[in-house]
Amino acid sequence: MCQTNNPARNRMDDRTLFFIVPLIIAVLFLAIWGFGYHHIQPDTGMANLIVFLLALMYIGFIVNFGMYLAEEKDEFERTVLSQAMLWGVGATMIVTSFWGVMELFDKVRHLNPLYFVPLFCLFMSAARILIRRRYR
Amino acid sequence: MICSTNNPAQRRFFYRFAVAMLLYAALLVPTILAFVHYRPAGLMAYALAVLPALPILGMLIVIGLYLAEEKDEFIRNLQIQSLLGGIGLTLALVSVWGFMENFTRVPRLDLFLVYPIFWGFVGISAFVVWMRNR
Repeated sequence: MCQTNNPARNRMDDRTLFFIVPLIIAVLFLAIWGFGYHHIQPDTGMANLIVFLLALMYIGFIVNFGMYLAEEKDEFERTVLSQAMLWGVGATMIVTSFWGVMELFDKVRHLNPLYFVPLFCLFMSAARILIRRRYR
Repeated sequence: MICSTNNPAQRRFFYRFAVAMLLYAALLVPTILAFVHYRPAGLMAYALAVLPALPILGMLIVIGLYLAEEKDEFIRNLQIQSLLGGIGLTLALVSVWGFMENFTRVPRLDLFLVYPIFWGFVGISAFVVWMRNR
């Protein structure tokens, strides 16, 4: 992976490359083989294990990001990221609360909570771009 | 808690936050009652559903204002850590639940519960951060 001059960023990239990406590949392969081709029945121990591994992938991503934030020495970079995360979580909460009320009365389809993380990442990235632009 | 702090930024934060929380409760309950009794449709349903989301935006602004007004770097850092801990725990919980919804038989997670869950985790996280830095 391209190395930057920022050691915290490099460590995050390395963790992503050597832990998160192999975990994603292994877990997706297991999930497609197990559930896609019906080798594993839902509600069995194996199914629960795969669900746990799938969730571990997301948790790994979150922990990796948290470690980066803790290791980052650049105050400005940390401030921008913290602000972006707050905006990201705020926007995600607004969307999910709106959707939750609509869903409660069958006005919209159920939104799987799995979409929560991608939605948060999307809003956080947009916020990060806007905050950086403000400080330019 | 409000009375015990000498920090003006924290005092303002508590008052603003309490107002936003009260507004959230005050808008959520009538919205649900309106949906139950009048069964609104179309644009009216969307307008009603967006009402409880507005104080959430307000709370976000309140947090932003507090972080901007807080003069003590150390306290600001602790508050940010608590919020980030809350975000991380909430994301982890909803991800696990999402996968369980897909592949095992668990009840559906009502999305409007995610917001109170988030604040619950922020509270736990704040306690842990406070204990660590005592």
